[in-house]
Amino acid sequence: MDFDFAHYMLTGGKVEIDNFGPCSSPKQLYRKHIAEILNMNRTRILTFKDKAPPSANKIDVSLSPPTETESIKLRRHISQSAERILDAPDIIDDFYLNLLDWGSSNVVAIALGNNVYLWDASDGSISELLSTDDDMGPVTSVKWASDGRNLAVGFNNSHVELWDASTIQLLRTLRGHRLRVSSLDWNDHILSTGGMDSMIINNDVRIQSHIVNIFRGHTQEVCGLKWCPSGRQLASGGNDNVVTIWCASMASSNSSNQWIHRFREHSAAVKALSWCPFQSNLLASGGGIGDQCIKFWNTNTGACLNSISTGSQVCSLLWNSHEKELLSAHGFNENQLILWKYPSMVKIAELYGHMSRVLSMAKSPDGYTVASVAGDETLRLWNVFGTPPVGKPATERKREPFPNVPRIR
Amino acid sequence: MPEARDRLSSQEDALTTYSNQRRIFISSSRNFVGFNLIIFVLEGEDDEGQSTRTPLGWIGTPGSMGGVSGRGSIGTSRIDGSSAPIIGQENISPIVALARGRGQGGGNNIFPAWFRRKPLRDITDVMKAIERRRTHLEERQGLQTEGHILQDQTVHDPFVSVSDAQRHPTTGIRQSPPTVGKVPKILVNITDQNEEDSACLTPQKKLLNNIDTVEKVVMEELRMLKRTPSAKKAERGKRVRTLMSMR
Repeated sequence: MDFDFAHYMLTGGKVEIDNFGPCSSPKQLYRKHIAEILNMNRTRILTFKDKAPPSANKIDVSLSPPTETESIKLRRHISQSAERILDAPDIIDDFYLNLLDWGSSNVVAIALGNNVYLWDASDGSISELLSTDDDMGPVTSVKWASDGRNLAVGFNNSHVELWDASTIQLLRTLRGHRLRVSSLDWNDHILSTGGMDSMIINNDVRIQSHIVNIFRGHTQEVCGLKWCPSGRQLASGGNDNVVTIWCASMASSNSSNQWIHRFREHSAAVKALSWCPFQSNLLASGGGIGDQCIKFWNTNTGACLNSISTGSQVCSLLWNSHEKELLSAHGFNENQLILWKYPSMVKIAELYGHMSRVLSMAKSPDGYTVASVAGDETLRLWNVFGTPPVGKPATERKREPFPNVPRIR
Repeated sequence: MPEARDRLSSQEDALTTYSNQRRIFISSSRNFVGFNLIIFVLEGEDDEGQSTRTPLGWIGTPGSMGGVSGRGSIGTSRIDGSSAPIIGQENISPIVALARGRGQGGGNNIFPAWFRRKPLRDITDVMKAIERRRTHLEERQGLQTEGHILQDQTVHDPFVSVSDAQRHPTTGIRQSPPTVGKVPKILVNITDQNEEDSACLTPQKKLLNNIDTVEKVVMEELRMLKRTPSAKKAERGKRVRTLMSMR
C-alpha cells in the first residue's frame, strides 16, 4: 500500500484540484500529463496484491474515460464542409475592401454593392440596413462597434456613416477622407478609418469635430486596420506592403513620428491582420499574391518571430479564442481556409468549398463559428473553432451527497 | 498607313464594358510569370514624387512597387464617373488563364440562370445539390476526356490525375473507381494499335480481333487487380469467413 498516495487522497488533495475552477485547456492537459507520469491517477488506495480478479474490466472502464476525453480534446472533429451557406449576390470582388463583420449582438453585417444587409445569426432573419445610390456607393467597408448596436459604414465617395442597427437610423456622417474608405476599426469611442488616400483618421464619434488626429505614413491604400485588444496599439497594413504599428498615446500629437514600428518584410499588400488573444503584443499579418506569407511580430520589440509561406494570397486571419490556433483565408487558386496550430504552424485542417477567392472573414461573438465571404457570391459559415459546450458537468456532481469527500473503496 | 491597332486601347474598351457590369478594372503592370496579364497604362497626370493624393486617385510611384516589370504601376483614372473603384495588383487573378472555367467572372457561373438571388437567403441545400451535380458531371467528363488525354499513351492512371485537378472546388476527396477508369484507356490503346493494320482485314475479322484483344487485356487487368494487397485482403477475409462458418 502506497502510504503517501493514501495520505494525499484522504486529505482531499485531488478534490481540491478538481474544484479549482475552470483553467485553460493546456494547463489541464499539463496537469493530467503530470498526474499520469507520477501515477496519481489511481482511483483506489487499496489494490489487490495479485492479479486482479475477472471483474478487472471495471478498473479499465474507470481509467479509460479520461484518456478518451483527452484525445477528443486534442483532435476535435472539424467539419470539412460549411455548416451553412448564404447567398451574397453582387458582392464586390475587390481584395482591398472589408465588407463583412459579425457584431457582438450576433448579427452579421455584409455590404453587397450599394446596400448593407444584416443577418441575425440567432434566428436567421434578414433585414436591409441601408441602400445608397451610385454617387455615394458602393459600400466599401463595414464594422460593428463593441456594443453590437452601432455600425460604421465606409463608402466609395470617402464618407463614413454611423448607423444604429436596432432602429435603422443614420446617426451621423463623418467626412475627412479624400478617397474611398476601405478599412475601419473601433477602439471604444474612437473609430479609426483607413482610406485609399493612404491616411488613417481617428474619429471620436461623441464630439462635434470628430477628427482627433490623422496617422500619416502609408503611401498607398490602407486595407488592413486592427486595434489590439488592450487598445494601446493600432496595426495597419497597406497596398504599399508595409505593416505599421501606431501608438494610441501619441494620438494626440500630430508629429511626424506617430508610428512605433514599420514592418517592410512583406512583398505584397497586407490586408490580413490579427492580434493574438492569448499573447499580448503578438500580431499576425498575411501578404497578398506576391508574398503569400503569414508573419508573426512582437510589437513591443519589433521582431519578426516567424514567417510561413502558404502558397496563395492571404486575405484574412483569425485567431481562435479557445485554442492556440490561427485560421487563414486564401485566394487563388484553391480558395481554402487553413487552420494552423500555433506556434508550431502545423496545418490542422483545410476547408474547401469556396469557388472563388475568399474576400473577408468574421468570427462569431461566442468565438466558435467563422463566416467567410468570397467572390463566388456566397457567405459560408464554418464550425471550425470547436463547438460550444453543451452543459456544465459540475451541476451533476452536486447532486451527490458529500461531493467533496474522497471515497475509500 | 492606317493607325496602328494599339493593343492597349482595345483592351481598355473591353475593360470599360466589363467594368460597367462588374465595376472591376485591372490596372496594374505587375507581371506574373506563366499567364496572360492585361497590362496597360492609362494616360493621365504624372504622379509627382511620393504624392498619392491627387484627385484622380493615382496610386504609388514607379519605384515603389518593386515588381518584375520595368514599368511603374499606375492606377486608373475615373472612367465611369464616381462609381469606378480603383484596382490594385491584388485583384488580378494569376490563374484565370489556367482555370478550367470555374471562378471566372466572379462566380456567376455557379447558379443557374433561372435561380432567383436574394441577399443572405439560406442556400445550403441548393449549393449541395449544385456541387453534387458538378461532381457527377466531372466524373462523366473525366471518363470521356480520358481518350483525349491518353493520345500520348501515358502510363499512369489518368482518371486519378484528372480527378485531382478538379478536386478543389468540391469538398473532401473523391474516390475514383479504378476498374471503371481503366476500360476507356484500354479501348483507346486497342484502337490505336488496330489502326495500323486494318487495311488487309475484313470488318468481321477486325471485330473478332478486337474482341480477343479486349478480352486479353481485361483479364490481364483483373489479374493485376487481384494481386493488389487490398484485393488479397478481401479474398483472405472471405476465406476466413467461410472457415469460421464451418466451425
